[in-house]
Amino acid sequence: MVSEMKIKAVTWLVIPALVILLALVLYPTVYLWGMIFYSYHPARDPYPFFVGLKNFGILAGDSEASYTILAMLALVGITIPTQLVLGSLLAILFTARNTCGKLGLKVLLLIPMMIPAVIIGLNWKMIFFSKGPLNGLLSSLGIPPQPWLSEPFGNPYVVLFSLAVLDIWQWTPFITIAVMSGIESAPKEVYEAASLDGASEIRTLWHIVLPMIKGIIVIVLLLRIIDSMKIFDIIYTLTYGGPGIITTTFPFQIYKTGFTLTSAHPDIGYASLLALILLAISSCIAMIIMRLFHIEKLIWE
Amino acid sequence: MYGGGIVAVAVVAAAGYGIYEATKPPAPVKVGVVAIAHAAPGMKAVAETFMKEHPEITLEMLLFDWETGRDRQIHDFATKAGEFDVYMWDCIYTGAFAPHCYPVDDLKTQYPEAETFKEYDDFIPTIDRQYAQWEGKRIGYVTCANVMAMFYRKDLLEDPTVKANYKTWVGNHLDELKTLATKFGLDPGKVPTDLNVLKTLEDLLVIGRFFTKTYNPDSPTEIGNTIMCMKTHTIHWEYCWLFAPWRHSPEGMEKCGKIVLPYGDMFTEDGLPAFDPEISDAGIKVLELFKELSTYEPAPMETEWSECMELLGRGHAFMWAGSWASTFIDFIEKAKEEYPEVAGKIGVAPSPGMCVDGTWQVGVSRYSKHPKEAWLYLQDLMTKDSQKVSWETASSFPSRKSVIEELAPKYPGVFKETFLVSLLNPSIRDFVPEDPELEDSIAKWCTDYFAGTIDAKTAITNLTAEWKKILGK
Repeated sequence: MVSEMKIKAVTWLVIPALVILLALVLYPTVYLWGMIFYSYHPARDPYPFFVGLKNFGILAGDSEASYTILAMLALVGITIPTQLVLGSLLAILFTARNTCGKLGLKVLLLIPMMIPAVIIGLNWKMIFFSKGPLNGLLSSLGIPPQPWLSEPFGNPYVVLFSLAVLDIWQWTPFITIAVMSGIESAPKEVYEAASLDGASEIRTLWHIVLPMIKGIIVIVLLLRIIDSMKIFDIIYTLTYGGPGIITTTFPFQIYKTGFTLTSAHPDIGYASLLALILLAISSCIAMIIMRLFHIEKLIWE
Repeated sequence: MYGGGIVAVAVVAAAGYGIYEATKPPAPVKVGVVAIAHAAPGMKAVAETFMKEHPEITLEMLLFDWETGRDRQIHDFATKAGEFDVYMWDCIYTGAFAPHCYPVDDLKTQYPEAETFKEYDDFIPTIDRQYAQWEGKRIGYVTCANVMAMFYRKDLLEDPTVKANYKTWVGNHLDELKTLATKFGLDPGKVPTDLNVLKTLEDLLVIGRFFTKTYNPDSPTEIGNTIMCMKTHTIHWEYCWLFAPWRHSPEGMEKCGKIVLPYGDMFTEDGLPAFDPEISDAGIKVLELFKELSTYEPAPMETEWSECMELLGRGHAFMWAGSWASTFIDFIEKAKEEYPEVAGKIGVAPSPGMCVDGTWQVGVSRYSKHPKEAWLYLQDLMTKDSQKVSWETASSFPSRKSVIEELAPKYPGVFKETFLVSLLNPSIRDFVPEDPELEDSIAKWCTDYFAGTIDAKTAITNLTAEWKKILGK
């Protein structure tokens, strides 16, 4: 009797959460799936209309979309490994016994993460300006100024590296903090035992501590990959996807397609299809990482 | 006893609250106004006076750069949420914005008591007909009759030493310059041998080159001409600017027919791309000229409005030939505060070749919850006094003939001889509903060519095909 009442109470308590979940997650997701079969030009159509598989046909011939997927993956490919290596090295440096001024360094490290991406984009735009401080520094060193946001070193595609620099600058501290917390949470006995066995600090880190915090690193890696694939605000303020579409990544292309008219196929229905593709790519990458590193096992460990 | 007292107090309090609610003045109606770019400070200044005269209306001025404001307004079209009561658009977006604006005739019918403005005959007829009306219906008002203009270093252009150096430099490079002009479809016979105010594209090519350090190490400036090649919007108008002289030439008129609206200079009489390589090689040569001119500036593909302002305003550039009338306030009126390095040294003249139309319009959103109040403000924005305030605050060039006449004596050589002349003989971009897609397409193919990934012929051929596809032709 009591257990039945408990079940009833729990059911009633769950209902509000369920309603919110349905309204905020399930309905938009179902709507998104439905929209891929519709066409809706944001400025010209009074309402969405059914087009069947037409959006898939557009996608098949959309070279812009293919390029922007590649640009997104290239950016992830550059930023994530760099952030991981750099962030881990910094974490090791900050947790080393002989490092002075650790607190000050940690505070400094946090600053980029605390600045809104829009402000970062606008500030770096000034830094990258042809008469800006970066080119000023280069000139004082006798190096010719570079058009950092269009053709650095004579190659327009190198501009993706300028974007990557910003992402690395902003998000490396996140990896550092996560790895640092892992290193610091390792039991002191482990260090003492390793020390008694005559292991150097580097060997202790490499062979004992890093395997112990592998779980943290993998989760951080996963979070950063998903986040890096969504990069938008810095592109919006720094290059607006230009020159041409060189710095247009896939999420920015989805935005342009669905919410502006400056795309070859401005259509909310087509943008929904692109959004689902982004979801599929993110899910695939996440699954590969989870399988590769046996993430469930790592978490339980 | 106490209970009765409490009830009495509660009844009195409730009655008092009821009386207060019934008699209190109504809360002001909040009207959201999109105010874009350089015209925004003028609109804001007018709004402040308007709100004093209409305390029942609060105008919420939302100041955006064009790209952000455009996107936000398009979201509003799609959702029909009525986030903004007043829309604002660049002239080439007239076709795209028209279906989302309240026809003024409908406002007149619904709110006859709110009609305060009737001086429609005072507007400059061409721009009023093209950009404030669509398919015969008035959809708004031209609030800023912006027009392209060239801002240049007058002090250098008039300096006898620089003039003499120019003559020598041209003399030494005349054959090379003539070959260059021919390569870009320009007239080699028009290569300027004396340094004077620029009038033609030949002047732009040659004088710009003289003032660029990479071509002339003795140049007094590093950059011959600052140019914007980053975004869709700027590339579209700059290509049109360089293409217009050919399109208006006897050859252009013969091959492409009359210029028809809303297609404008980049189209044939039949509404097909006029730069099509199958019609002539003019489109290809113009693109090549565009790239050549972009070498006069260190990073054209990352240069926008603010960067151009800085390069001319800090003395790095000799000119900004494809600037707009709205920068008059920064470079001339307030140069002492804004750009002391060049204060008093900047001159203004019509852009070489032809000047492109760039007016800004305002209209009441079809999805507005307060169309009457929004319309009241727009009508106030069109009065003579408001147009003067807009000019004085933001150098928004007036769209009313009488205001131009009144202000012209204060600005000799500028108001009529530069801005008005350009406004009345402009190069016109298309303003069809598909224009935004066309803009994106031209930017994509031009920058691919600038970046060296394709040649000019491929760029123009692909551009032609894509424009035809977008227009369904």
